[in-house]
Amino acid sequence: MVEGEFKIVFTGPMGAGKTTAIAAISDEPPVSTDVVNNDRVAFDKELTTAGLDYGHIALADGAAVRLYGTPGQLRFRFMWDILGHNAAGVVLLLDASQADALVQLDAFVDAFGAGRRSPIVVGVGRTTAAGALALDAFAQRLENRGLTLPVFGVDVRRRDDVLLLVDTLLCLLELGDRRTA
Amino acid sequence: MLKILDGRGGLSWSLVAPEVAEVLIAGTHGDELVARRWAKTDKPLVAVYEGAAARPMTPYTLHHPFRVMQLLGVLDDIDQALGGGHDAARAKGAAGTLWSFAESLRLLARSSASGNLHVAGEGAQRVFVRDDLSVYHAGADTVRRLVGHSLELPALRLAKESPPAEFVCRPVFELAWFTAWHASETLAPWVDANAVYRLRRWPDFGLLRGTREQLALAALLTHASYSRARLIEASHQPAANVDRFLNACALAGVLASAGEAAPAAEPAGTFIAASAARLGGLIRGLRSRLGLTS
Amino acid sequence: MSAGPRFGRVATGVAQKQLEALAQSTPGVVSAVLLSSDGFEVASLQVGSAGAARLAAMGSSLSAIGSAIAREAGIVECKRMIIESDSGVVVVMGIPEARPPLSLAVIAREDCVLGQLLWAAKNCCVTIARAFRE
Repeated sequence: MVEGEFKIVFTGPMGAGKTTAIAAISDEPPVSTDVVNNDRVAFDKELTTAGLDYGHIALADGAAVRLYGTPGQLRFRFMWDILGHNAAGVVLLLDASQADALVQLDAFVDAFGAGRRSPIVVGVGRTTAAGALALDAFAQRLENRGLTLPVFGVDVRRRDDVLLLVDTLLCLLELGDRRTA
Repeated sequence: MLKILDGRGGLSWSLVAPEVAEVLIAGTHGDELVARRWAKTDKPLVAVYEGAAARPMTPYTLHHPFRVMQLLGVLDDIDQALGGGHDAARAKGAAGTLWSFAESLRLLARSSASGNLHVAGEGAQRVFVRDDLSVYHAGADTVRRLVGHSLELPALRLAKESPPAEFVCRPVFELAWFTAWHASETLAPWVDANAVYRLRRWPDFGLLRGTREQLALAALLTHASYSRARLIEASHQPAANVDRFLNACALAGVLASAGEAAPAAEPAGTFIAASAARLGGLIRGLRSRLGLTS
Repeated sequence: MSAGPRFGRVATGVAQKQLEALAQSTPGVVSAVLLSSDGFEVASLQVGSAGAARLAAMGSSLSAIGSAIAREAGIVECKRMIIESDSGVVVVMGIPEARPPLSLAVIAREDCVLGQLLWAAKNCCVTIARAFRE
């Protein structure tokens, strides 16, 4: 890892708000690699990320935090591995109104090491939408697997909610940090 | 199952007929008639559910197949609730009105759900709670005050009336959390100062708007088990903070007692922290930059 | 898993024939995939279905990142990307006029003449663009 830097990866299925979350805290509008979405049946969104979103937070003394957003679809799984490599922490964003949200939860948690490699915090949006899963369903799913990852109901259009997710990640990092000290 | 338990827990358990038992364990199979007879009971009931079935809305549940330690954990929770091993008298005595509402909430949690509403308070300050502990109903003003202050409500009673139409409907977790948080700076009567605890899951700090101290405590308690004293030491936080946190987690149903103090599940080097000092500096810098210092 | 979008049978047929012609006319071409900008395979040559799907996704990521770099650098567009090694070459060429926008990924051996490959691929793209504009 390069001295004076660390990176946070934002991941999750399409439409969960990764780009929005990064934009909420990045110094400048994030670089995005949006392309035209051809699979409108699976997802009625005009654009989708094919490569990555990139944001950046400059700290004092030249240090920096790099923010990466992964593409959401399973066919871009190789990007999750590339972007997740050496990430300090992962923010997993989910959409509770998607029918397969719990399957997505399992898939992304497993893809990023289930919290064993680096900490994962889970932000679930749209829990109040009609027919959406309650937050409890996500927490219960993880509890059944013996995982105690933070799972919070959030709206990433609110900057405070994004900050909460990042702050929690930092608390978990400090925990690991403390143990190595 | 009991053979496996023998000698592993702090108590001994024996299998008896439902009539004389102090604790019942029920699953979805079995005799419909028998189950219906015991469906409405005041005895603590452990509901066992399987597969993808939704978790029953009772305080004690086990998902089948479960490990021995999970069963022990639930039985320990029940033992504490029954006042075994420590001061049950304290709960009824000196605590008095301070914990009345919270205690009645806990009592509700210990009984089976029959779909009834319970209510505490008068007029516009009333709070209605569904006995399956899913939601509560209250005026918007009450909800605002709940977050910041102790509501000083009396114990819940069975409601004969329905909540007014203008009352809002919110998750019970929020009610339980803030009720316990604001009630006292010292440990609640049902939280054992000498027990060792961990968190079953994180509180939903998106709903609760958690503070840094709360996040830090949750991080510690989900990572390993702690006694109250060790938690105060490890977190470098005042005892009042830790007590409030334990109270709130206990009433909200996410605090679990651990058999004994367990070391962290993963070895120290799990998280990528090649240089501890460097990461600490970066974290401080990022917090400062995002305006997160508190 | 969804089967993915359909891209029009006539146009896809034209594309398939173009890929075959490209391989036949250009010695050293090993395989080729015509992909949508969001990583779906439209037509492929000499690549199994799993390999084609993977190449399509990776090719689209590469194109998307290439375009982003071009924008950052103040270059108007990224027309093509070339990955060269001692044992072969991968060319990803954009077809922005097609509807939907497409890219052509061609894999060739080291003995393939790059200039010839680029020229043949460009002609292939022009024909495909016409088929996908209607």
